[in-house]
Amino acid sequence: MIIVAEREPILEARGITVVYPNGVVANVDVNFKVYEGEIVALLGENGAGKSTLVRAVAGIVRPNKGEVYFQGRKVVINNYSEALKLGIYLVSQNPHVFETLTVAEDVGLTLSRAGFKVKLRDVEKLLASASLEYDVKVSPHELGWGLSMGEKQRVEIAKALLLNSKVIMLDEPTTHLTPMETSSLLGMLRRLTGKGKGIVFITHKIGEAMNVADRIVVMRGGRVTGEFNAGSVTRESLLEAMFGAGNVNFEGGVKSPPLKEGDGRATLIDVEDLWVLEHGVPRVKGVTFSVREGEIVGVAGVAGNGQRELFEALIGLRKPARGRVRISGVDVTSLGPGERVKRGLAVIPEEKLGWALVPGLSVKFNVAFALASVNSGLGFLVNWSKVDRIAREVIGLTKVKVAGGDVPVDSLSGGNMQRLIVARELFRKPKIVIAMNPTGGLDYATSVEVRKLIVKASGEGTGFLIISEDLGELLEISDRIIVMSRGSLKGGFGRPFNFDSIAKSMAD
Amino acid sequence: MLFLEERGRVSRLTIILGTLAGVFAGFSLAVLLTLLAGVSLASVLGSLIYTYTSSSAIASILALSGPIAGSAIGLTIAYRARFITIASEGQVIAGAIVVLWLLAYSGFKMGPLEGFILSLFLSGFVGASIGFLVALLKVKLYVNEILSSLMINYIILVVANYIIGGPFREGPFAITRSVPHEYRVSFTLIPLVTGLITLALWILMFRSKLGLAVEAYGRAPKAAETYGHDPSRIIFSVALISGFSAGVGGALMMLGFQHSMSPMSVFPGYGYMGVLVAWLSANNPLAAFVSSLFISSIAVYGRLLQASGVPLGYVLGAQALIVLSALTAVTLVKYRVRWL
Repeated sequence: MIIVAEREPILEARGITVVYPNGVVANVDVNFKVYEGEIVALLGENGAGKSTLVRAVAGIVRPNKGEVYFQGRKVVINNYSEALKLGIYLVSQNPHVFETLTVAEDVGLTLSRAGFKVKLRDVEKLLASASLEYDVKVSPHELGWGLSMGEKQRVEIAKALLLNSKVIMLDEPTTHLTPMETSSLLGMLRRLTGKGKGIVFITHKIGEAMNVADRIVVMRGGRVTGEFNAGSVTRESLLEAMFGAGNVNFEGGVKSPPLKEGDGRATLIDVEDLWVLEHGVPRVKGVTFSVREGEIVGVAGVAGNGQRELFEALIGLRKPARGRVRISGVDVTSLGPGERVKRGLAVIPEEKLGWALVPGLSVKFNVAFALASVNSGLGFLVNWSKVDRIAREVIGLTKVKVAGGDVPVDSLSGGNMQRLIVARELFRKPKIVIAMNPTGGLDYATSVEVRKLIVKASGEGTGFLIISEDLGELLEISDRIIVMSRGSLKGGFGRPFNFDSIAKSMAD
Repeated sequence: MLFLEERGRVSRLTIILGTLAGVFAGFSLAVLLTLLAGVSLASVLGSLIYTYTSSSAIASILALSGPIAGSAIGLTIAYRARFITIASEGQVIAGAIVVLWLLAYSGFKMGPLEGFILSLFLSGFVGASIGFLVALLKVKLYVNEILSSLMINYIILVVANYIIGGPFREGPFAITRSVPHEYRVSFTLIPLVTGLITLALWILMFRSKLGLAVEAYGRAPKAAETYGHDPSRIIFSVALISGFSAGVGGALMMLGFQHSMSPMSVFPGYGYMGVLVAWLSANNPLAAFVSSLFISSIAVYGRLLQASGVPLGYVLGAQALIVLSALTAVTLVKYRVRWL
């Protein structure tokens, strides 16, 4: 249902077309409006063109075609500083807050970038008044590195308010937030609309868009494919607009049958009192857990609570300061990744290119290099015709959309890269898979696909340890969830899961 | 603002033709430059034609290519692993000196074939040992290999000078004995040896598991390590291979055309030329083999120009123009210049 509003929009983009120098068409003739006092969600799968659109409006990307109107007046925004001066603020997915500056210094820098000349003392006063007026609490003396992601977002919003921005655009703002931080952010945004601000909320999560927004604009393939009133739209209509009619599997969700304790399943990985230090500071503190055959154990928590360090210690990239890691009863604590992989460990890292895949090389190479270290029968001299066959099998395991094994891996979409990684890792029938944010940044359809693969493999006996920031995903596929907070494990939860208890542990 | 934009996929034929066009342009510019030195066009062109047609100049090109190719071909695998060593210069010198010791000082009795094979292996072993030292410093003490290899080159230079002026000194001048005639090799054998090294390296790089690991480690070290390719093993492997190859280059230099050493001949720069050739050939051993011949030919052309009366400064400028034109052509084939 298209909403026709008679009000004058604060911001209007007309016919925006963006073609990147490498030929990628990111936006095609996009029309987009933001009204005073509303939250408009910009919804779409990865690569739909949402971020490009807001970056084009904010002057960060120069559109090839199209016009921007601000408060009824046609404007040409050449760079982000001009957008700031005009009253348009973009909060990116990873907020830009300097680690070594205090909040007040950081805010002062942004204000000066927008042409305001203020003293540090005045910034502190301004922050205090914004805090009172909009209930956006930030501590001016806190250093950037000590701020949580939620706090960094509040700092960004405070900057937008001090600049008297009329339109605040937030790019996937809940990605790194706990459920509690998310609800606090949403409350704050609602208060801002009460003060007449226009909020653009970019997300790829349907539920989030329906909960947060007044209006939902859906994008697909760089075009706007639907505009809906959030109060009356159905999930199905949104899915159809996101993926196109007939391309949606509405059954989507995947459930794992819960495993029973004491059913004789072997322990695949056993972690005991693990401590990992970074520059002498403990990042993982005495973590103990195990994963059994066919079990999916989820590690929930807000990013930056020691998950990455735990992941790296488990796969052998970091040496723990204390503790034991055993794979199938064999102590692998002092062994590197290669020895662990040989003992049946498969790894799905968070970053696709550069960590899971080698950029600039073919799909075939990317299959071969990961299989070469295990006993894959490739021999000292690689039999490339055999690699070809394996690559085809790996591609066939999932729906990797690729013309063949010789295609450069960089040319695959994020979703296809992830399908390739998961398929490659499952191809060698590992005992245990350690995955970090396996569906992070993926669109709905690919996320479902990846989860299905995980659940299917667990049904065949593979154990999974999934470290994820997406609590919804863990609730959906895990047999057990353990929560990581400030480097320690805060309790384990079995099915049926109690969302509130888990969310509370994450915020502890 | 000027910037370069990638053209996307470029066929191998286009790259070859583009490079040849660049070389042609380079030679044209070089001829123009040398004309400025007041030498006649006939003399300059005569030197150029002579370089590529006379048997003696071709023999010099093939002989000179030995140490350059030995260094360059080995470095291609090291550079693919992003192990940026420049120890090839020292490895060529060390390889040469050890061959000189074996054949002229050790007193071992052996036939020409045994002497030739032993020379290659001994020089290769010495080169590999130097490579091992650079790798050890990197892996165990995290020393940057560019700095350590550069420093090692200077140490080798000092030691070589000491050996030449000390234990190896013959008569009143700081000059060593010569490699006995029976051990000297024909210029035709030199490209044969470097060709075999090229073939071995090519197989190792593009057909072996080690090649997979090296390629993966060079482009994405974290990915290589995560999926079981031990970084230390990769670094040591490429350091030993490149060191062996450069060491053999030193042996070819000694057996092919150098024969004896003096302080003047200690730092010939062939190892550093190998570094240039490895980059010029985009770390492809086959291209490095061909590029070594190209660089040798430019060196021989330079000598002929000097002989025809062109001052050294002009000669060096002409050589630089040829190499730069070739590099520019390769860049322009892959990228287009855009104005922002």
